[in-house]
Amino acid sequence: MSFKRLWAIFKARNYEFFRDRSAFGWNFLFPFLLVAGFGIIFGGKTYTEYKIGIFPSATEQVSVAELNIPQRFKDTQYLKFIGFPDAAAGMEKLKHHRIDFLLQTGRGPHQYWVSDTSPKGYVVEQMFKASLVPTESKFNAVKKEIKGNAVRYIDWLFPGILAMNMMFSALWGVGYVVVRYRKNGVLKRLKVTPLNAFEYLTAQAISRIFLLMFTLVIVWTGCDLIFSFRVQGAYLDLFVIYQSAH
Amino acid sequence: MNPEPMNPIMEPILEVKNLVKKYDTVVAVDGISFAIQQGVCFGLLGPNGAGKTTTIEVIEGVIPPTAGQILYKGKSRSPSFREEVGIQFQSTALLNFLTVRETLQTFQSFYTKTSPIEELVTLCRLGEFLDQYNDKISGGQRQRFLLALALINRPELLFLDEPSTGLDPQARRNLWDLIEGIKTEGKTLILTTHYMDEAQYLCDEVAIMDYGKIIAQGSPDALIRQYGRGITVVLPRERYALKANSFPLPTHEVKDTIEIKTDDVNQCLEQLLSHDVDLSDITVRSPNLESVFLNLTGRKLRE
Repeated sequence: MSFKRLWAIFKARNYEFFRDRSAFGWNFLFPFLLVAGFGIIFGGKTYTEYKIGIFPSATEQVSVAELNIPQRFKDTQYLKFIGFPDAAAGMEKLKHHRIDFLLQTGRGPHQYWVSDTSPKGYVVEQMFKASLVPTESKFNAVKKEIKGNAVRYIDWLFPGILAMNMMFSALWGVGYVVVRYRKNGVLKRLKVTPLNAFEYLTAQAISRIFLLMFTLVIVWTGCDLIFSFRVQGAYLDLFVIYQSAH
Repeated sequence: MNPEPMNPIMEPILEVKNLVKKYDTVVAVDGISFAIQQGVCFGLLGPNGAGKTTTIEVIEGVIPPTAGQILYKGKSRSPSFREEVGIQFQSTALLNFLTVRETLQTFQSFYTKTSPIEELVTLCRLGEFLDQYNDKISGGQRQRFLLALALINRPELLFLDEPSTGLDPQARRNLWDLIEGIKTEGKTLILTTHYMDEAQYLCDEVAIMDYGKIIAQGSPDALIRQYGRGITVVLPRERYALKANSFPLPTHEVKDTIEIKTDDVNQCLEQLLSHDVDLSDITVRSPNLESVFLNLTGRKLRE
């Protein structure tokens, strides 16, 4: 193996990366756009909300305070009440799981409908039943909370982007280039020189690892400046995974 | 018993013995043999699909032969063969986004014995486009550049596969001059072409291939003498006032002209004059390599 030949190909492959402006821009811009885009799309409050249909109600918007339903059910969090004029309109929505629970307002005994194929419907039913039990019969229980920083969507997303970057670079940066060069005759031209396949492939892979690390540093720093990450895990492990993935 | 001492000048630089290359059922090269002496420009001619490029690529080591022997300086090709030969392919792509200078530098790093880039720039006149990307140059510039790449390792044996295909007449002449210059340095050249004027101009020896076999071999002059079949006298038809049966020589009409094949021009012209034919627009065509080629390979379209 000749290091002179390896170095020549390594340099040539790096030039291509930096000079191919469209691919170069894509390599840097794409991870940023992906992080920012997904961050915006999924970064909002994402909690599960249970939809409760209430009838009869003249409007879709209902004032929870005025509803004639058990007080403890009203006080339960993450419930959204939607008004329906009659049972039929509510049933239609319930059938298609557009709402999880349908309840008739008024004095008890309360009538409710729930779809037997809806897990959320089952959960709401349990909550509703619990709200009917008198307070005195509850077991004593003590609530304890843990403190912690919520892991934001973006914090989950970024490692995924890194993994994707790794896979794409390996696939496009090495696999695809070799296929393209084989098809257009570059490898044939190189084959008749003293450069051998091992030297070429080694140089190509080293070049792409180097460029991947370069891209990683830029994207990491950029994303950190914009979104300020918190890394939970070892940098060394990441580095080793990054290298071996290639 | 000691072997007879060989004359180093007489030992062929390249020897091909019974070379066969088969692709499934197609026999691309069908048992050809030839030897090339040092310093000779050897032309491999033939119609499209005759097996020229396959032959040259087997010799270069790009594709393995099915059978046969290839000897370089009397021995089988070793890894050092690649160090000592220069190759220009018919069509090739190069590493993307490199300038002409950088491509030369990259290729220069592959070899142990190399030519200085400045020398190649002067020889192949690359100066005006040295800092342009290697895929952003004209056809003529590209051929000169590919020739420079083939020369970067100071090769003793140079393969040129259809070097002037697609070039305009100026660029072709330019390239020929360049190749002539390389020949004077004593390098051995193997050239494939389907331009007969190119082969006649550049080659010392040619082999005409058809259907994977060599059907004729020798110097262009020898081949013309052997297969040229007479001189052609061409007259515009309106000048030819004679009736065909009143003229003793065989004639045939080609478009607006009448062609007379003869081995003795003087006798032919005397006869024409004796029949009061106006010779103002006469053309006398000597046989050339093209007529040899067509006589040997026929005029039927191959593809």
